[in-house]
Amino acid sequence: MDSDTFSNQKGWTNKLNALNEIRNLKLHKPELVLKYGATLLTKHKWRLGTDYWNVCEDVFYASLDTLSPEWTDFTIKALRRQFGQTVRVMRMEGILFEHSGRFNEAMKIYEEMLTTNPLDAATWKRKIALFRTTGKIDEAINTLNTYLETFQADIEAWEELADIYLANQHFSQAAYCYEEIVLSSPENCWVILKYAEMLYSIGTLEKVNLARKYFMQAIILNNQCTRAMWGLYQCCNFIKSGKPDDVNTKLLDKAKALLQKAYQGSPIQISNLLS
Amino acid sequence: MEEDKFIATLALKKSAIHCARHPGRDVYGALVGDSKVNDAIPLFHTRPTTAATEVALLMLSQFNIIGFYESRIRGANEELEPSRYITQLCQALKNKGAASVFVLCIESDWNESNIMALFRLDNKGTNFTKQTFDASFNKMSLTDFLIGHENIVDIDDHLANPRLDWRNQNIQ
Repeated sequence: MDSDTFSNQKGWTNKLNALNEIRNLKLHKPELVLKYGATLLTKHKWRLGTDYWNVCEDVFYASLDTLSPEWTDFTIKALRRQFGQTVRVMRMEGILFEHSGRFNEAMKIYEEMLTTNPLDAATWKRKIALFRTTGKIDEAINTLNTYLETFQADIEAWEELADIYLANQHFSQAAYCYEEIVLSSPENCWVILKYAEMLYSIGTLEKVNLARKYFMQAIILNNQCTRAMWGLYQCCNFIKSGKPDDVNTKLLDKAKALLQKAYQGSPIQISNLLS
Repeated sequence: MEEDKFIATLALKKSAIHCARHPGRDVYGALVGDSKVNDAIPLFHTRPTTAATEVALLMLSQFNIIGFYESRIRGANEELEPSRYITQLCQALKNKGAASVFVLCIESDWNESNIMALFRLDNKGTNFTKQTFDASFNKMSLTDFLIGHENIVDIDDHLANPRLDWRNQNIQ
C-alpha cells in the first residue's frame, strides 16, 4: 500500500490494514492513526480480536503526539487492565510521565525496568532520550556508551551518539562513531560524505588527507554529489597551503572542473569563488 | 536603537519560514546588512560541520554578515541562548573585525510566550548580552509570514542540488 493512499480508507478492514502498514513502515502519521484508531476502538471493537491491543498501543502514542488526553487515558487504562505491569505497558507509563514533565518518575521506571532486564534495548533508548530532553548531555553520552558496549551493531545508536557529539562540536568523537557507521554502510554516499566532513572538521593535516580520500570515494559513489566536490576542493586547498604535491594539484584541478560542471545552469555563480 | 525595526521584516520572514520548513530540527542562518539586519540567508537544517560552514561562508562572501539566527531543539532546562556552534561563528566574525555581531534565537516551539531573543556579542567577543526586542512577536505573527511561502532553500538544499537558489529572491 502506498503511503499516499492511507488517507480516506473506508471500511474497518482497510482502516486496520492502514494502521498495520503505518506501524510496519514506521511512518509518523499521528492524526491519521488517531482518526482510524478511534473509529476502530469505538465502533468495531468486537471485530478486532487481538488486534484491538495493537490499535490501543498505536492510539496511545498518536494521542500523545496530537495532544488528545482523553484517548491517552482511555488506551493506557485498557492496556493496564489487560496486561498489568508488563514491559511494554511500563514503558508506556514512563513515556506518559515524560510527556507530563515528570522526568524523575519516568527515569525511576526505566531504571527499574533495566535492572530487571538489562537487554531491553527500547528502554535503554528511552533513558538516553530522557537524558537529552532534560539537557543532561554527559549522562546521555555515558549511557549511550554503556548501551553500545552491549549493542555494538546498533547503527541508530552510533548515529545518535555522533549527533550528540556534533551538536557540541566534538568532531573527533563524532568521527569515531561514524567509523562504525561506515563499516556497516561502506557504499552509502551520505555516510561516507558525513564521515569525510567530520575528518575535515578535526582540522589536522593527517585527518584532512584522510578526508580527501573519503570525499573522493563519495564522488565515486555518486558523481552528482556537489557537497563532496566542495569537500574535495576544500581539502585540496587546505593541503596546498601546507606541503604542495603534484597529486594534490591534480585533484584540486579535478575538483574545480567537477564544480564548474555541476554549476552549469545554476543561478549561483562560483567561478570567482574558486581560487 | 529601535529594536523592532533593527531586523527587517524580510529577514524575520525568511528565518520563520526556514524554521517552519524543518520542524523538529535545528536550523541555522546568517543575518546580513550593515548597521541593521536587512536580509537573512538560510544556511543549514542538518548538523553543521566545519566543511559545510566554510563552503557556506565562501558563498556568502559577497554579503556583509552581521550575525546569525538559530532555532534549536533544547533540553527542558536549557535557556534560549546561542549554541556553541553559533558562538564560535560569532567569535570568528568578531575576530575578522565586525563591529557588532548579533544572534537571533528562535524558539522551536512557537507556543512559547517569548518566541525570540536577540543577543549581541560583547566587544571582548566572549559573552552575549540580551537585547530588548519587540515582544509582540508570537505564534500568530510568525505564522502569518508563512502564508504563500511553503518553501525556502538553504545551503544544505543547495549543496544537494546546485540549481536551487539559497538567496530565495521569490520571498519579498
